[in-house]
Amino acid sequence: MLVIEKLSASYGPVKALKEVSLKVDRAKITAVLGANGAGKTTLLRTLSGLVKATNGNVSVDGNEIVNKSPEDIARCGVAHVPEGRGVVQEMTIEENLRLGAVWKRDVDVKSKIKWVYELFPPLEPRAQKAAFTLSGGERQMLAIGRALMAEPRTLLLDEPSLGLAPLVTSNIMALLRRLCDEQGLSVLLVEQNARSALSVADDAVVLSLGEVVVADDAKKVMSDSNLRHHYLGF
Amino acid sequence: MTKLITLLLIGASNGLIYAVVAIGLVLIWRSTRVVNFAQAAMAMFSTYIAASLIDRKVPYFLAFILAIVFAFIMGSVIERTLMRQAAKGTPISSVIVAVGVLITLEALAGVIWGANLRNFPSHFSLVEIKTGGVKLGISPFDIYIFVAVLVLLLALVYLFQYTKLGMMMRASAFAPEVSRLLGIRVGRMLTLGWALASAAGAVAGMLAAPRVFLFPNNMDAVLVFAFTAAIIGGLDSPVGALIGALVMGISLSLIGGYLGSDLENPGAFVILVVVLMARPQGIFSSIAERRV
Repeated sequence: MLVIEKLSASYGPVKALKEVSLKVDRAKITAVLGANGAGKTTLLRTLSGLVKATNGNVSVDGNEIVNKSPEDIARCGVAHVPEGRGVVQEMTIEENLRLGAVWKRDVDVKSKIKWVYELFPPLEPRAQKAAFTLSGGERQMLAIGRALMAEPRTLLLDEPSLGLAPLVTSNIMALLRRLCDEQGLSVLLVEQNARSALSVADDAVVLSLGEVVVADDAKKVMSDSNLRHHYLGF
Repeated sequence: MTKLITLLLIGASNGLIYAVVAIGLVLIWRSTRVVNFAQAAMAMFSTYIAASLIDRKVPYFLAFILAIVFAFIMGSVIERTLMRQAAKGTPISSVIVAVGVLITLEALAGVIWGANLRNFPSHFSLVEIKTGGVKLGISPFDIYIFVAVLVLLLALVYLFQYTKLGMMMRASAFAPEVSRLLGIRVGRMLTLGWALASAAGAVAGMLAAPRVFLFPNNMDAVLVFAFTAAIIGGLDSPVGALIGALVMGISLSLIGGYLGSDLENPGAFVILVVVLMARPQGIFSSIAERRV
């Protein structure tokens, strides 16, 4: 469970997040929507420690994580899949997966890798190829698979649909839902593609200029045409 | 003909020493994008430590290992204290601090050990091996250089390709932010990179010193050759650095042997300038494929 209370962050004099509060329960997906520059990516980067919070609290499963280092936050069971997929291009697919759990001692790396290959079958035949040979969709699969290697409790995803074909996107979204239900993950899903995010999310939050302007059930957000036109552009 | 073979062998043996320094430069460049101009001075300083130990009757190989341990610690301390701070500034600050470390170490060595040339034991004979009256062009010391460099390179390859630690170091160098998100302590990996580069430098210093003698800036020319070798190799490829260093060693040996030894240093600069003009990204750089 991820609880964010009045989280603020700035880039110099620019306030990028203003007292953002939200909660993601166990086995739930919360979609974070909003236009470019609304603070979605900053929210994830602050949660994972890459950006310092100026104020506020964040806890995961009862542990305070705000302003810890990214390494320590990752070790608290928070996995952040950054935008642009963040695979290590020079390393092989299998090395990337092994990196995902490299700090963890009690994990059976071999069976975990096998499990990721079952989730994402296109990765297995390419195991020994460098990650830059993968397509955009495959890189996204690798990045998500790698995040799962360390058995996280909380998954932060930044624009997983960016640049992907609609079919690939809907496969990934369906898989997220399955993982969330089977593994009891709390997922914070940042998306520009509001329609596909809302199709799998339980709750939705809309950010505008660093503030939460809407927080509601995902189905209600989807069916409220006023709100959709106003903030989400569809 | 025998002259050519002799020059090639001497060149290869010098090239292996440049390779060790060049690989030290590559290790640091890959993880921090800093050219460590202090690499040679750090090597010199560690070599003096070994020389002092040998003067105090410590056996050669024990002194060799203790100097490597010293270099490892010195590299970590320099990274943790000076370079970590410098990295917070602009890219040029790191370069200036590295040059500062170079000047400080050379001055300090002068203060502690004096600026005069001194011998450094080679432990193995520098005299060419003869079989049946025919000179083979290589000495036992050359064979020692070959074995020592080979062991060092294999150890580094093993570390980087086959261990968890090496995998974390590579990931930290290629993608520091992503590595932190995966729970890797990138700061420690940087320190370890400097420590390893410094230790490799110590090996190079102790292998070079019997030929170039030991004095506070005895490794300056070696740094220029190694830097050129690393540039030929593209600065981020250890294999490229090794090949570049062999090319440098052999070219300089041929220039020295046929055109006069005065032309060795200018020759190195000519090679550097030509490589930078013709192929600034180096010959073995992986940058091109990264842009896919």
